[in-house]
Amino acid sequence: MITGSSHLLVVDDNKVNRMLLMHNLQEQGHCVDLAVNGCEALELLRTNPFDLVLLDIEMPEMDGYQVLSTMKSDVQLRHIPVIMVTAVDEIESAIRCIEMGAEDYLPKPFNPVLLRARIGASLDKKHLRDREQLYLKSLERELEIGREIQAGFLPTELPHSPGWEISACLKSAKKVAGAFYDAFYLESEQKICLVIADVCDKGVGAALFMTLFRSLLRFTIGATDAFGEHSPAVRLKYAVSLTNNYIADTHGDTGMFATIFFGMLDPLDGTLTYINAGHEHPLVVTSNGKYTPLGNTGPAVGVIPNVTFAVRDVQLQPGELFFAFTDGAPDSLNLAEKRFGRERLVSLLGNHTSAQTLLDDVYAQLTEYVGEAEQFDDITLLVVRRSPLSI
Amino acid sequence: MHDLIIERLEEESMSESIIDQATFDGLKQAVGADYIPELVSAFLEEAPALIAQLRPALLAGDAETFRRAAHSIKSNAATFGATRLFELAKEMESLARENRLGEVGNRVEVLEEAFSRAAEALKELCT
Repeated sequence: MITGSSHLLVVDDNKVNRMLLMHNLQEQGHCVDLAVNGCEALELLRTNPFDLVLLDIEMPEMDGYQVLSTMKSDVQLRHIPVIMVTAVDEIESAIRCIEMGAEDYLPKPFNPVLLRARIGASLDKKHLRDREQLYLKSLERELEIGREIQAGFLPTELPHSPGWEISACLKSAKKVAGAFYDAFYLESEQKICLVIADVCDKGVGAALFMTLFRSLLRFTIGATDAFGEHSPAVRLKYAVSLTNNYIADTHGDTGMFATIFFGMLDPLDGTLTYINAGHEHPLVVTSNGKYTPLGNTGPAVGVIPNVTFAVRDVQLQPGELFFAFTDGAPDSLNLAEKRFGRERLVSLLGNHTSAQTLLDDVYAQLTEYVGEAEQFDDITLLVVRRSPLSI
Repeated sequence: MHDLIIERLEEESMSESIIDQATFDGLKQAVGADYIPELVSAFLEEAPALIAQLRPALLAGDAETFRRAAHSIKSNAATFGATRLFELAKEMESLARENRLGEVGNRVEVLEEAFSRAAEALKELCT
């Protein structure tokens, strides 16, 4: 049993009862406040932190039922345990109060041993609940810190290149995400790197691996600068293979992997050189809505060491766009648990006037579809559009 | 009818103690003998005001006020072991709850008498 002083409120219109309870409770070492009716009790409860309330049922102005009902419908007060103080011939009233949310009841005249036991038990539960709340709050704080740190792993600004628009968004299902996008300019090659990836599973574990995958890809592609004249294909192969081998060799026992699309776009001629390692097929979409999926060129990253990743390329013509997403988008569930579906997603891609409006439109449609349902998975969208006027 | 109830009270008081000794001793043990005079004094101060509510409530047919006053008297009577006072207050509370104020008869006078006797007995026990 948790011992120590607690702050208790005794609510009773009967002076003798108030005196008796206060005397007993003070003898037990508790700090006691008194209220003579329900209105006074609620006023005290709203201005002072109490650990427990001893509440009489029969009172003028506002009776015990009304006080209890008000407390239980108030988010600030509902967690405070209430012990009803009732005459022995009022057991039915006590049962009604327990059904309304009272913690326990105490028959009058008071038996000090019973009083001590019931208060002790209720306070124990209250203190455990308080600890649980504190623990949950500290977890929330930790997750919030994690979310902020993880947000730093997304690009703060997307690359700008004449004749090109790039837009992206990530909406995580939990505080932290297992999916990510990346877009950055590789100075040495005058190319734009585009990444969209989805780590298996969700939550903290996936988020940790997200930071690892993202960092490895960024580091390895950057390290290829030392190669000098090598082509985008060689650089992509190097970055994805090294990342794959590192994860598979070092973290193979965790079973964690990621599906990754890693492309390198030449903004001058629209060539997109890419590896699609098990990721949902991004689409190259013409302005009239026809599309070409960019299929897989290798397995998911981190599963099989020393596997070969093929490299392909595609050319984005003026007015065409590249649309990549994580499966959280087509797998979005509404309240009836029906999937949004890939077909519906693809049907939104025609008649685009800009990368950002397309992204906004897709995201709005997904949000409207999901409605009040809980978001099932991280939703990541990456749109790259070549201006129709570019040569 | 009235005389009958008064007679019964007198007969019972001859054979029963006004304050149940076991209940009173239990209270003394629970709160400590030093605290008893303060408690008794609070009871003797509050009870007359409660009893004074009974007659006007009865005349006005205000069953709720009558019931609540009887309930409080009952609660304190039980605390001190004032057996007869407790039983009378309990009866009156039940009658009021069932909207049967017409059947209260002379119970208010009988209760006043029972309170006087209980008050005297409690004062004696405190000395």
